Amino acid sequence: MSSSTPLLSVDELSVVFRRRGADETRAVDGVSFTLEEGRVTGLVGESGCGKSVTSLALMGLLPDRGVSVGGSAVLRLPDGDVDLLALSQKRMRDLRGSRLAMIFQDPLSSLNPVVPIGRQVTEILTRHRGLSGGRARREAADLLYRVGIPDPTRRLREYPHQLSGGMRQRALIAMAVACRPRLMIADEPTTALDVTIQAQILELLRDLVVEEGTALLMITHDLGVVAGLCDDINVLYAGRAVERAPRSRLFADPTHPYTVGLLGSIPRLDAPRGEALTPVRGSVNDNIAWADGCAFAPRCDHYATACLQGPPALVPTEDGGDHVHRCVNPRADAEAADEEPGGAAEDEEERA
Amino acid sequence: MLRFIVRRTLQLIPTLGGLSILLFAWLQRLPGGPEYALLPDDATEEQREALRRALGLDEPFTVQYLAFLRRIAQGDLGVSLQTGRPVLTEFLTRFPATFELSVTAMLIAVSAGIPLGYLAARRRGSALDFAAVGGSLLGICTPVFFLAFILKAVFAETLGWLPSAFRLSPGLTRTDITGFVLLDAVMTREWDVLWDGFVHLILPGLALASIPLAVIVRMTRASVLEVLGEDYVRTADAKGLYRRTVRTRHVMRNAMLPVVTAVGLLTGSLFAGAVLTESVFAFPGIGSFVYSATQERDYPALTGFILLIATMYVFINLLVDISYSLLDPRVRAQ
Repeated sequence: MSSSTPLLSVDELSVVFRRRGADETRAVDGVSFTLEEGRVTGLVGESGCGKSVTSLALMGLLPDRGVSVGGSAVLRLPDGDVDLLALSQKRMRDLRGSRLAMIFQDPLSSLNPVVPIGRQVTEILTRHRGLSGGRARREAADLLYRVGIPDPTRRLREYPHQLSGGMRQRALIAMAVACRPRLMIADEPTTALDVTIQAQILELLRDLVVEEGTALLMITHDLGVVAGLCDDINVLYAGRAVERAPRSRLFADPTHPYTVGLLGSIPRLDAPRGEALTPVRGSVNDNIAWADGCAFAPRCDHYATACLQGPPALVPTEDGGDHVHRCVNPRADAEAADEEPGGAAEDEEERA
Repeated sequence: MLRFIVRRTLQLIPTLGGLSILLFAWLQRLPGGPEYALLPDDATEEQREALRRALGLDEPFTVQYLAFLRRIAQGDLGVSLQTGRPVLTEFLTRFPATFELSVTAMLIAVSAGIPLGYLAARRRGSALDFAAVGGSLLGICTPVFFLAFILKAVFAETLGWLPSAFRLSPGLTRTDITGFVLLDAVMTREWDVLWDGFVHLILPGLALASIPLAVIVRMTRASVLEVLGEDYVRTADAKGLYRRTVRTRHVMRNAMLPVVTAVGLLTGSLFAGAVLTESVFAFPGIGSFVYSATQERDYPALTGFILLIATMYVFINLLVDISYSLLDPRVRAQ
């Protein structure tokens, strides 16, 4: 990591949903990370771990009522630092689209079906850059061309349903980069796309980050995406980061049992034929409150009594430096490679 | 786009054909033909038979139907048995009043219903929302003639703010060009007639607007709630667009699609449904005429009026479909 001040420092972000007549839900429970210009940071975890809520909180897109957001997210702007979580709605509207941009998961439902693509691109240019008429249209065509949409002037007149899935996501990316934001958040941008298109979109995002020096927060459950794109990776579990490391370190030497489990559940081409995949058993609902101990303990094959004595802290791993994890009984490499056969058999029963 | 309109217009032919067959068959099946209405009660069976033959009622169904179609094609809808004047003339002298009344009611319903439905959705669970939902339930449940009587009693008879009956104040003279009071008044610059005609439309318009208003409030509310949860609204917010841009371009343009359909259907039903309101306010529209035609078994008049109203209904539907395709590009693509 560079020693300069980061573009965005998220500190102890928490999001609590309160609904009348129901217990409050801690979707995000003290997550901290930093984003640097020109780098891609991954936020990885399974459904329900709080990764999407984190992104919506940073964008100020959570509903007004029934949600309380804590912590801080300080963004460095030319005219001074601002805390995104403390800004007024009006100020956030000024920043969204111009300084911060977001790319969503499902490109078809994320585009307005009854407004031409061109209008959906030019409206952001009009709002933040004051362009209108022919100038806005020319700029919009340039943007579409830049994100790899052929024949952009024709596409501007078309509607979302006339575009292919990959082109729709490219159009959304064009809208996100229209005002050269310093920070982009991509929430599972490739989940709804074909595998070949996925690779193209990831490559496009990578190019944009490199060319513009944008900071990209990549939210995904797909470790393949993480491996190909992210420089730094945060693994989230039940609203807290459980492990953080640069990409190469995380893949070479995962220490938290959850990370090990995630990596173990990826199908591998070089695995012997017929070898079963090893999913992480149970689901994200089988957890205990962080206040009582490690939330992952009920699903962990490696837990000890120490795991249930109070909340584990985020501590440096043995290899130290910028590799940290939240585990009191980390898993040695030898054990990680040698899965217990008992555990695997149990998983198969569960899936049957 | 043009192809869509042409294709959709051609689809009217079978619709109108089926409509005319149904209507004709229904009329044939009704008990008590004109031979009972026209002749005195003590007429002999021979006299009735002679009249049936004279009116062509003894011919086979298909022959009668084809003759019926031929006459319609020539603009001849027969002669009203009540008044002895052509049915088409009777219709054209009364329809403008009903049209103006229905359009007034629809304007009230749309201009109040859409903002109210939007606000109710935006402030879901608030007092305003409960009032809008509860009020619209009341509006649907209240019989129109009951509401008409109350409005008349309060605003016309007790407070005396608005006239209680007729289309214009007695004694006011106007130049007739098209039969539409307000339109003629604008064309001839008779501003006193315009104002008088407008004032006379308010109470019956309000009474007639109650049901469409209730339907529009509920549909708009439900539709806006659905659209507010859509991903593209979140995208629009994520772009930092102004609230009003998000509201008009992204929320309302989509939320209005089902409401447009409802407005079209409701307008059609108002033309036919103004009967009770017109009779409460002694409004000289088609309602009162249809009512007496039913009483008098004036079959030519009934057939003609039903056919004309149904045809209008079909054309309003066509307009709805065309406007829908202008609003929603996905419809055009099919």
